[in-house]
Amino acid sequence: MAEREPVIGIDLGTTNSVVATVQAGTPVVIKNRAGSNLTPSVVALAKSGKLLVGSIAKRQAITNPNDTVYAAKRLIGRKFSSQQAQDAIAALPYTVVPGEHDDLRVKLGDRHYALPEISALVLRELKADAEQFFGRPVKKAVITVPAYFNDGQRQATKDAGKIAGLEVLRIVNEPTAAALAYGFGKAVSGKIAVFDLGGGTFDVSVLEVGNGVFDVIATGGDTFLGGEDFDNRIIEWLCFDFAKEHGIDLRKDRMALQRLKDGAEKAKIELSTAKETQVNLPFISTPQGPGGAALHLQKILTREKLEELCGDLVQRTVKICDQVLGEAKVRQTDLKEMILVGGMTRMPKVVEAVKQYFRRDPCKGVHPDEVVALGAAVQAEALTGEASNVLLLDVTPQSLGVAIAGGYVRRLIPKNTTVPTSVTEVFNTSRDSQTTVKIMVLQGESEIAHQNELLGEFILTGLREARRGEVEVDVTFDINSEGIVSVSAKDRETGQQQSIQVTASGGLTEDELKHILDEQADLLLEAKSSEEIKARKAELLQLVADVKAVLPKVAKSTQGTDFGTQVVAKANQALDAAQRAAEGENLAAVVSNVDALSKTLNLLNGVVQRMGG
Amino acid sequence: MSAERAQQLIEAGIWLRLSGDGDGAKRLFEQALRLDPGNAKATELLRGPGEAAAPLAPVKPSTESQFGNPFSRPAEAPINPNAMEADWGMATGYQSGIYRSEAMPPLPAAPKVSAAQVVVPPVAPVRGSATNVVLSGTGFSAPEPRGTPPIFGSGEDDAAVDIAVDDDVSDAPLPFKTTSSRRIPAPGSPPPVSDSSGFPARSMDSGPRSSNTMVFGSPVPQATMAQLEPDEHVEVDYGGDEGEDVSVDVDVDVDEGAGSQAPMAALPVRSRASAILSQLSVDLDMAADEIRTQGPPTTKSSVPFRWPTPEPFPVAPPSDGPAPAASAPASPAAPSPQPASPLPAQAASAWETRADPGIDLPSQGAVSGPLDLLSSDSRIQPASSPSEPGSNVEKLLGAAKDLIALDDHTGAMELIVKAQAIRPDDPVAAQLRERSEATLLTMYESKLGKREGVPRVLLKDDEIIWLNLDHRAGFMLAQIDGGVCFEDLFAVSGMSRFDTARILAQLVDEGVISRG
Repeated sequence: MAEREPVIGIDLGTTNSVVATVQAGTPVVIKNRAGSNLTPSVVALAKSGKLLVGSIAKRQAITNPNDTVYAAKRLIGRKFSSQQAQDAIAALPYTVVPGEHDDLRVKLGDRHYALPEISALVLRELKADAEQFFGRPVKKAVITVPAYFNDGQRQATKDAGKIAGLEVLRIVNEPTAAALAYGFGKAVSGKIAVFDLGGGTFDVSVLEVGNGVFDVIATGGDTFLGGEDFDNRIIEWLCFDFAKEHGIDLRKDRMALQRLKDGAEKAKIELSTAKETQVNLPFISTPQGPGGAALHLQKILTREKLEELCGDLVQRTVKICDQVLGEAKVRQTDLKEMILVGGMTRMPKVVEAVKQYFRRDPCKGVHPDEVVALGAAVQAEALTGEASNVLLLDVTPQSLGVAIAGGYVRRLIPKNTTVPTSVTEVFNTSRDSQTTVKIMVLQGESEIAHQNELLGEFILTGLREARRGEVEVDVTFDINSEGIVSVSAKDRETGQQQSIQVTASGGLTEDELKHILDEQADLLLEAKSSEEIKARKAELLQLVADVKAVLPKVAKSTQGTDFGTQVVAKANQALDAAQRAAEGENLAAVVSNVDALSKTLNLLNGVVQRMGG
Repeated sequence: MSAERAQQLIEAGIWLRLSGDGDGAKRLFEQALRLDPGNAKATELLRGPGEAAAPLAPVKPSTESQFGNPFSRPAEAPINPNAMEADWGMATGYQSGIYRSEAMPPLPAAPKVSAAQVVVPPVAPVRGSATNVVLSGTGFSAPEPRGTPPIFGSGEDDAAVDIAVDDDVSDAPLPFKTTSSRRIPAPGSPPPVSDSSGFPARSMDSGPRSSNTMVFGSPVPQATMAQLEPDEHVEVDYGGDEGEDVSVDVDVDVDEGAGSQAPMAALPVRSRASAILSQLSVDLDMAADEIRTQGPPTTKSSVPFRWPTPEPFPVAPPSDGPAPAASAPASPAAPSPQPASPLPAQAASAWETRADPGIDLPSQGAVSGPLDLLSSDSRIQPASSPSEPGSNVEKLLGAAKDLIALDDHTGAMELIVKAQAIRPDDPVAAQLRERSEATLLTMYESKLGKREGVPRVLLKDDEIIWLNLDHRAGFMLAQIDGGVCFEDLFAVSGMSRFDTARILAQLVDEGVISRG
């Protein structure tokens, strides 16, 4: 029986990403080639021109800030003009420019990359790790996104997968994946809370679970609160004491700051299990002036001190939880389970605060920074496996509606509605003698029109002149199984109709996506042929060395004979040709010389054998 | 022609020697001798720095070079910094690691300072009795900072000076000429004529809590005093030594308890010593600059001296009571009531008094003697003479070419960097630099082994902290975790490939990390 095609689940995080699969019925994390479970979602262009991805890119994030892209997830699928994008850009050191369709482009070196391209580089890295794990190509994946991602952001994530050479089987909400990892779809029904404190963002979600449906009934958070803020508190503390002692502000030195960041993160992680740790950064700074010996930074950081430094950050998470639960009208006692997600939830102070607020122990058994990827792997397995596990239904991630008079929204399709679906509603004109009506298709949860995402708009004309409210227009929303939204407006009196079709766009047009994919294919081909020529050249050079080694023996044993003279001359000719080919880049020439030299070597070895040389 | 060329090579060699590249310098001197076999200077210089500096201190020629071996461990066993507070008398060479007697070759043309003594004020929290630091050096005219700063803090490069700390300076076994105790005249009074050293004699009322300075042809003490405590007694003396050497003797003597009022009193003892030594280092450089252009005063040349008026130096009260704020010139909270501040208005610190030293310096032509004190037959002009920057660039580049021809790219880089510091856009310098960098890069990379190889740190953490590295080497070392290959280190370093390769090669050379 043919082996099943491998499939993976990917948690494409803001700070770190994880890839997992299901083996023998158990979800497992696939380590990256550096041996770590987490791969930083960082892409950089080194000064050498080399494109770096993962931990190696993260290592130089501070020393090379302009050409290091991180937190791309905050930008993916957004419009350049949106407030969220502008807020995110303001906090980023790298250059973000508007694309042709109000999308975002990141400048790396001389090139502008679309956000899906950046995420694709991370996905490709994860794919390569998985391929090494399986020992064969991996083509299918389930990718997770935050519950609040709109269609555009989801589509952009899909595009990223496509550019990375993956068929994205499904985009799954992160809290849903976390719940899946605990098997809650089957064993547990009811409301569960997911507390996700990651490296850069904080999300809290409440899910209604049951019968294979994972309904996100409330979600909220802070996209600028995460582990990095905790690291920064440690850095500030270290720098303050160092400045007090030596009068040097380490934050101004990029090399020092990079080391401080690494040191602070390491210390923070260690303090999740130890009561105290030492931050040891030798030769952190060299004072200016002649004879300044480099200074060391050595400091003990206790868990107590860390908790003191970060107490307010922990409290912020609790406050947000309170807000989200309040909006969803869910009490802590209504919750059946509570799941912790994200590396920061390993911090004892966070666990304690969460326990205190939710009045229950969080679920244990799955590492919080791996739980989402494991859930994605479970879903991927369910989608491709024979035995049907919990199978998620495709639902609309956010509500869809139209703008109405006063700047408000009328929702036609609420979020989490299973697709395909169709809804029709009747609207009236809002003022006297109104002959046209503008239909603005919006996506989002806000009651205020401009706070939602505008998916498209069209105008229905030719309405009868009448008093306000007299003319009726049917507005129909139709979502097919592919997720394509069709909106139509029909004048009930005249039957006149206008419609629009909205396809989620991740910022890239079909042509752009095709162009990128073609480019990828060319690069792949180039890399393959470069690898092949390299390998063949190595083979040729080895043959040259072998022939050179055996040739003197042949010359000696056939000395004075015509045969010997001819053989040696031909061998030398073959050697010259091979060496010329090895210097060039012509694969065909290299291959033909490999063949020729192989024959020559066989001949020479035969002569040596027969002559006993 | 060949004599002229030889002269150029000698000058370049001196540059190199000053930069710590003894081998490169030797090669140039040898080449100069080949061109001009009778060149006495070349012969003299070839005898080696040890001999030349013999009257001053035992000198070990520095093998350090910015490019060749910019990485040095302290010659002596490093001292645990934690132990320093308790026993800082043993701190020779630590922290202010530049103060060592091993590295500095003699200066061929510029006047040399043979010794400097500093009696550091006692610090009450640490010691009850007076504490003295004896600072002595083979020369204050330290080499100019190199174009590319050395990656490893050198313990031997800039000014080779010994620090010895004793409880009582009078009992200290001074390696150099001790300064005779002189009375210093009160500010405003003219200096007495001369003493046996050939310099104008000085006398000043130096009560136990006075803070007085005398300057001859240099603003050095003025600057120094601005940073010292109010109750210090400072003497500065450029003493001619047998017609060959010029010595600077600086005594700083402060009574016990006086430091509590001064800005530096709050510093730990070691930091204070370092601070004072650093100040002196700056002073010595300033003095060297002055002497280079003006020459030190001698009885022969009778340097014109005008006592600064009105009273540029704040004077501590002669009583034992706490010093009034006005007498603490370095204290920002207590500005001097003197209408004319000793510091120029634009000076950001006391060290910027160069702009307006408050002293009438003699014109260059007025002094002809000082160089004769060193070497009457020397034909060597200071290579960095500001009057001829262009010709210096040519000389440096010419010598660099010679070194490249001798395959000494390390030495050549030293000279090219210096030339580029004078004339940054010089195309020849850029071309030579590119060539030498390419060669050196290959050399450094060959030391690393395979680029895909993963280096490992061979020393333990507690061994590493005793190395003499700078922050860039520290950064590179921090990136080596057994998982990153050399090629990736080049990518993450944030430095040029050349600098990265140089640092890594040095770490390999020193046995700190493994090859790939």
